[in-house]
Amino acid sequence: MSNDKLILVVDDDPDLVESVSMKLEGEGFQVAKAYDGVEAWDRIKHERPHMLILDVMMPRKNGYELCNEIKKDDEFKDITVLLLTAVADAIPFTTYTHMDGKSTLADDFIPKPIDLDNLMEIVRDNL
Amino acid sequence: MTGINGLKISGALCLVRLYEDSRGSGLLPAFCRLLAGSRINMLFLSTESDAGGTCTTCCVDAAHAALLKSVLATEPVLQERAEFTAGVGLLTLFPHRSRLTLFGRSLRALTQAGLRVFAVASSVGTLTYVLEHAQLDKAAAVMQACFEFVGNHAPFKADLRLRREPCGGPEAGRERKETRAVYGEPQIKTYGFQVVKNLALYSYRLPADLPAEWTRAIKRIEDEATRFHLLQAQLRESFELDLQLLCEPEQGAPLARRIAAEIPAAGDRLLVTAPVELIFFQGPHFGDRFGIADFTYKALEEKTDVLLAAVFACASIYLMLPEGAADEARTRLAAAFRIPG
Repeated sequence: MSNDKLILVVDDDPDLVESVSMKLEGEGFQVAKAYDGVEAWDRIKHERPHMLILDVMMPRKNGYELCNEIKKDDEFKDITVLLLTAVADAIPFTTYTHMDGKSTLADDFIPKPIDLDNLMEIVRDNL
Repeated sequence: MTGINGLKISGALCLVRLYEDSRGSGLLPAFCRLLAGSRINMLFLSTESDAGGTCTTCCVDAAHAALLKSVLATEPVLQERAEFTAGVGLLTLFPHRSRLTLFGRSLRALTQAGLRVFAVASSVGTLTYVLEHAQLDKAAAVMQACFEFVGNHAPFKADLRLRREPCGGPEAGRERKETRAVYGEPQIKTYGFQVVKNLALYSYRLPADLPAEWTRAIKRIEDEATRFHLLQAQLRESFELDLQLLCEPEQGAPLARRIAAEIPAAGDRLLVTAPVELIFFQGPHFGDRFGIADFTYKALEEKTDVLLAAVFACASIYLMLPEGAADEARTRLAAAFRIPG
């Protein structure tokens, strides 16, 4: 299966980026990768992906900040943003809350750890 | 020049080597249990077995070295089998895409720059070297000369912090940067288990300073299409690197022939074990959390004695097993870990 949609995977965990990328490539998607929010913004401007799969906690620029910047930018606001969020019961103390996530206008939320098959369904539903 | 996406270097770590006379002596699970009980995280663990026993290389934060030594002092059997080397650090390159190019070029470059490699292991996406901490900046510079990095890449030294204080605690209201989650769930989550069977393990013992013929041999294989499932090497006391490559047999056999073409005596330094099986899995920030290795070994219970090798690197765990052992191990692991979906 081939697909001309470009998906940018952003996470500071290179293993997660790789496993998600391999799954997406296996489904025929084009994949770009970035490992923090600043690098991701650069990729967005240069490669104009159709979708972002975006982690929340990252150095330099976190996922909430990046998502807000994208959604406020007329040029890029139509990019679909799926937020990977691990802010759940497993993390007792965090400055990141689901409320913060909801306020980012992300298109969908994916709880960590990811079920890769479920992720593919969410990706297809949102493209 | 080959392009790669990124590189990370760690802070100062302490390397611990653990020697066991025989596989399944129970020392490694006991060691992992001890570290978990003291909330000491292992940022890297690589273990391999041969007829002479099992050698484990693991790294803990330098700040935990004194605590680790003190808890080991309560376990004389472990203490006498453990050897400490201060001042090491991790250099992590990504992604390797299961090709030998990244490994071959980086190993050659690091060796030619006179940098000592204590260990190296692959994860799902990364290749992690254990080097002298004082040499990490030099190693990063060597890698920048060797590979083409993407523009505006993430910093090599990430400003990573854990926020541990509760919102109403003494640190409440203080501005703190939080870039990593601190997990506390009793049943650890994973993305699921992958099992690969009918693999062949190629174990090479090569001189750690890579004399010219080995450099040529590695150069010869790095641009080939050979794909590996797992790669690890540890520096032995004899100043030799015990390199293990886990491949499909149809990938590994031509590789061995190409090395033999360059080094006719290489066959004496090669041991092939086949068939073997592999289980690998990953989870959120497995590399940042204490107790992952202990949780894994407890899940396997007495079956740890069949493990041929294990690697805990980045956010991935790899367990190498003899033929016929992977399914039962997966069942045990699946009962212990929580899998989403």
